[in-house]
Amino acid sequence: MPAVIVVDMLLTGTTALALLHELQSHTDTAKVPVILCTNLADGLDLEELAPYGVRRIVDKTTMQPDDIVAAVKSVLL
Amino acid sequence: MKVSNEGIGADVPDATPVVTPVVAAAHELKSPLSLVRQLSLHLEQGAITDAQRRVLRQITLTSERALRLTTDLTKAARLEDALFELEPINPEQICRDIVHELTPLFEAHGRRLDMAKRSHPLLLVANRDLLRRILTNFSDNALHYTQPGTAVRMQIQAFQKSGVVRIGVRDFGPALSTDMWRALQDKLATAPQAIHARPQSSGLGLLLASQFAEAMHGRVGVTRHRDGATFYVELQASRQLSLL
Repeated sequence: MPAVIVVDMLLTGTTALALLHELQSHTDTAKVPVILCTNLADGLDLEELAPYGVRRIVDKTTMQPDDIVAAVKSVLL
Repeated sequence: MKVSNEGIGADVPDATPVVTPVVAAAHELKSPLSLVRQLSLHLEQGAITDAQRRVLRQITLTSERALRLTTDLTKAARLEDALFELEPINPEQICRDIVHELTPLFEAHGRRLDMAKRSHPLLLVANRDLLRRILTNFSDNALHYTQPGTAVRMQIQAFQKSGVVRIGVRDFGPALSTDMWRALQDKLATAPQAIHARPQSSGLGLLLASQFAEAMHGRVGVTRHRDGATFYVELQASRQLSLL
């Protein structure tokens, strides 16, 4: 089981929301924290996505290379 | 703001904004622009010469400018649907943040960006994000037109009689010709389409700024100088400080 999942919003054929729904429907994967790394961060609300396991949203348009590492570390603490 | 249907087929409802294909393009451009920025940042961290580092810095800053425009476009598309929170805001803080954020870009182009200090604090009623976008937009535009070695200046003025606060971005570049000036004044008052403010300018930034200002019950305008122009946004002053 992964310790954390980093996923983009737009995936081939679907979106991350469909994946998050699926993850939440299984007791073991529901507990895995998710970091969304996306160009669409501007229109997303972390509070609304929290029930889907999303713990951080990283904006690809403004992030620095180390931001993903920092986000993963903050979620795993 | 009423939107023109020019160029769209007859069976499209009147409410359909002509900007929709542009917004779709903006969404599409975000990914490649982000990728260019990330690749440039990654290369900057490698063992490269100073000259290469300067070039990569230009690529990063330029892609960030383009990303700001794409974000403004997508945000403008949501203006009619979204409820934007208006609150009392200290415009000096926003101007300081913008100066801090854009100084590397200005320095890379041999220019400066600064802010005129105020002796008395004031508040205006606005949406923080939209106001920030307007002023960043004006500053990006000023960078393009101000002469090398000059400083683009942000200035805040309060007009007590009318109860408005004006935030201007002054550049020292080519003066607006009389014809262009008249056309700009006319279009700022009435037009739903991009305003061609200066040579080689599509006017898209000014159009977006005016839409954002309208969403906050404000307006944008321009003052012509012999040696440049001041693009400004006017918003309602907040009376909170006077109640204390």
